[in-house]
Amino acid sequence: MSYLVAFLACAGTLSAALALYYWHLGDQNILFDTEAVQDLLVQHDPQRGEIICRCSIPLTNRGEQQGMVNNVFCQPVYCGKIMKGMEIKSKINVVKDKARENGYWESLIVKKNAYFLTQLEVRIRHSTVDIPTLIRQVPRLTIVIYYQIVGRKGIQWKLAELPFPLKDAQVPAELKQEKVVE
Amino acid sequence: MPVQLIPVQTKLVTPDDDLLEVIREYCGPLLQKGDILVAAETMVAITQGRLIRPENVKPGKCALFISQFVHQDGSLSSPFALQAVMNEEGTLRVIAAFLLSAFTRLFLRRKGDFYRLAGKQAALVDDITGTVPPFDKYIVMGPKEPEKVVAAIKERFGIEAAIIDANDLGRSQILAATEGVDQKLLLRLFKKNPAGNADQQTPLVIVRRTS
Repeated sequence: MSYLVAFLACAGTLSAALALYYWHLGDQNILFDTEAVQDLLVQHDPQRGEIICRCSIPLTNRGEQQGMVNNVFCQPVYCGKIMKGMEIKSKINVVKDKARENGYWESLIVKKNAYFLTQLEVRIRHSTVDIPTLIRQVPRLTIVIYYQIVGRKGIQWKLAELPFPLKDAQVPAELKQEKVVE
Repeated sequence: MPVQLIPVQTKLVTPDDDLLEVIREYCGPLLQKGDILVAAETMVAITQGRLIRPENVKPGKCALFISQFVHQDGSLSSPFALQAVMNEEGTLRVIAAFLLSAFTRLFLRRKGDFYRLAGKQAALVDDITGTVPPFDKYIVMGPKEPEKVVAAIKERFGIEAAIIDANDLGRSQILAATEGVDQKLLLRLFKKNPAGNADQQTPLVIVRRTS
């Protein structure tokens, strides 16, 4: 009887120790840190008839383990009937030497405490309405970033929202100058 | 004996491709009698369709637990890759390998037993991010029946052939080779991974003896 009790006690202690170890290891905490957006730019290009929104978003891992950002998709939040004629192209990529310009998100390992800078670019056009009218109707466009993290404890889908103030769209100085020359 | 290594650049090889046709198209004009054709194991695996999306793998408790003990740089540190290996090699085998290797690691200070005991796929699997796009989104398993593949290459092209798992870490492994291949020489030659592991897209290398 005492052997059985000892065996059960050992097995219980070992299981508890392993469970504690598993819990103690923690998980990844990878996120697009939209609170720390840098270099936000909203530009109106009258020659092309489009608004270009651009910003840098830090991608960080504040967790205890590494994870992999496997897929990233960007999508605008619906902003009313005017969206019917809107063409919105967005791409996001990691800022590095050999970044892919085609918008393909290459799976990325983000180690514990690692930091990458990503760049989000959104180009907005409208087929029937001119840009000033579009801006009046949509003063702010929110882009949602859905990203898939493959971690050591499972797959997670996360979401980040980023509002672009279209009403603040500036015409670049070089384009203004060209207009004066005309 | 001096040898020349000729890395052959190919298109992006996909599961729709036939390996022998890829070799014919890209190496056919270059091959000479006495050459050894070395194929990268990942390319062979891709042509065999050995690709698994992590979303299609449901890691069990054992995979979730054991993967935590694998160093984070290893493919099996991902429970998805480990579960994929368990599905092929058997869950019991992997659990036994884990327990035995834990013992040998703790008491005999020996490393690498887990990979030796858990089956070939444990050492060959590449987790996501481990392969060039678009296969960076997939777990790439090791090739099936590599012996048959090298035999088919020899039969079709009349040259010796080998399938190798080489990487930039200097750890190469020959999966299969025809009888006439000097495996020691090949391992020495591929220690520096002449085909590259990144975007070089040179999964075939011709080894030619020069006199």
